[in-house]
Amino acid sequence: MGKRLSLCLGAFLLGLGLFISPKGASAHDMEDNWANNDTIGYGYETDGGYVLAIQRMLKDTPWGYSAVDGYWGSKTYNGVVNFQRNEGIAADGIVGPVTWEEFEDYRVYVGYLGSTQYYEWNYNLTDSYPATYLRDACYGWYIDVTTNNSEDYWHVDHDFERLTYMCL
Amino acid sequence: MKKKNLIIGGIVGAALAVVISGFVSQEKATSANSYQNTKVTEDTKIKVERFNGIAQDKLSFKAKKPTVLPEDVKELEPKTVVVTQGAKKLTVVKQAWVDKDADKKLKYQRKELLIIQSDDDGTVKPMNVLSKGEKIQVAGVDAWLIKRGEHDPIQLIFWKDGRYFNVRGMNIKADKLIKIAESLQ
Repeated sequence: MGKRLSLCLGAFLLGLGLFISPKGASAHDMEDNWANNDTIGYGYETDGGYVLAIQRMLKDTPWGYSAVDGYWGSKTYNGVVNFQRNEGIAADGIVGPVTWEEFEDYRVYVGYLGSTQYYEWNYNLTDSYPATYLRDACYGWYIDVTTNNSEDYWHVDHDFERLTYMCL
Repeated sequence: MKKKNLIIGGIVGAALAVVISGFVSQEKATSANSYQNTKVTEDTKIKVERFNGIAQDKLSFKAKKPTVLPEDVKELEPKTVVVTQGAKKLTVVKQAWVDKDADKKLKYQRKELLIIQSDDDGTVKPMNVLSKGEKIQVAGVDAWLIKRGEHDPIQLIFWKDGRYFNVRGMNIKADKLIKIAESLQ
């Protein structure tokens, strides 16, 4: 009886430990096929690199209401709703597979540089500083988060991680 | 005795949880470190310079323009982009055309044409992108036609004469896009 109880308690604590382990424990990079990315929005992920990427892309639309700070709030939600409406899809404010595909439609490969694929997110065709993506062979996707230069790249996954290493 | 078992079981369970979550969180770092990585320095940092118009003096090639265009579109100001990483350089020209009444339409209803050309010679191709497309022939070379829904942009990607081309159209049919690509001169 005592052994059974201790086993139960151990299993419970094991489960609890895994449940409360940091988000980074299950982090993974942005996918090449964006439809397979994590779902972002209320009730799903609400901070981190994916949110940064969405906010940065919204800055290239007329609906980039919020700062590019990586935290999901009502302004980012409203921006996504307006983006969805203009894409002719369900405007639910959740960035799931369908909305990620709509975002990916404007991702354009521009060329190869050293060990890095260079992409631009061309939504507003007159934008002087479109969101630019790098795809590094080791770490995956990075996006520049500023709208006036393109040197501040952040890794797109759950975490806030600035580009500090490159794969050569 | 029972109390002791409970305490031991609890400690073992908690320790296992810590070990497993630690192992999972280390997995990414371990796999990344298995590559040869280099810290970003002035030599490896990617810099992007942007210019309005076709800045021919910044380009390593002469920009081509299409002689075939969709109907009822207006040309937007072209952009030149110079991307450098140490001694390596990528020069890019972007030209775009949109509906004359684009402002009155929702994005997915607009007609748009975007042509990107760069001095990427295609030695290394982005197979993660091309694998989504259908391989066809355009102007005597291999090309990849990438399309999804009816109102979603279609991309036509190819390399010719040591140069990369991406002809992307929205609400422009694929056969028209091919004609536009073949008219580049």
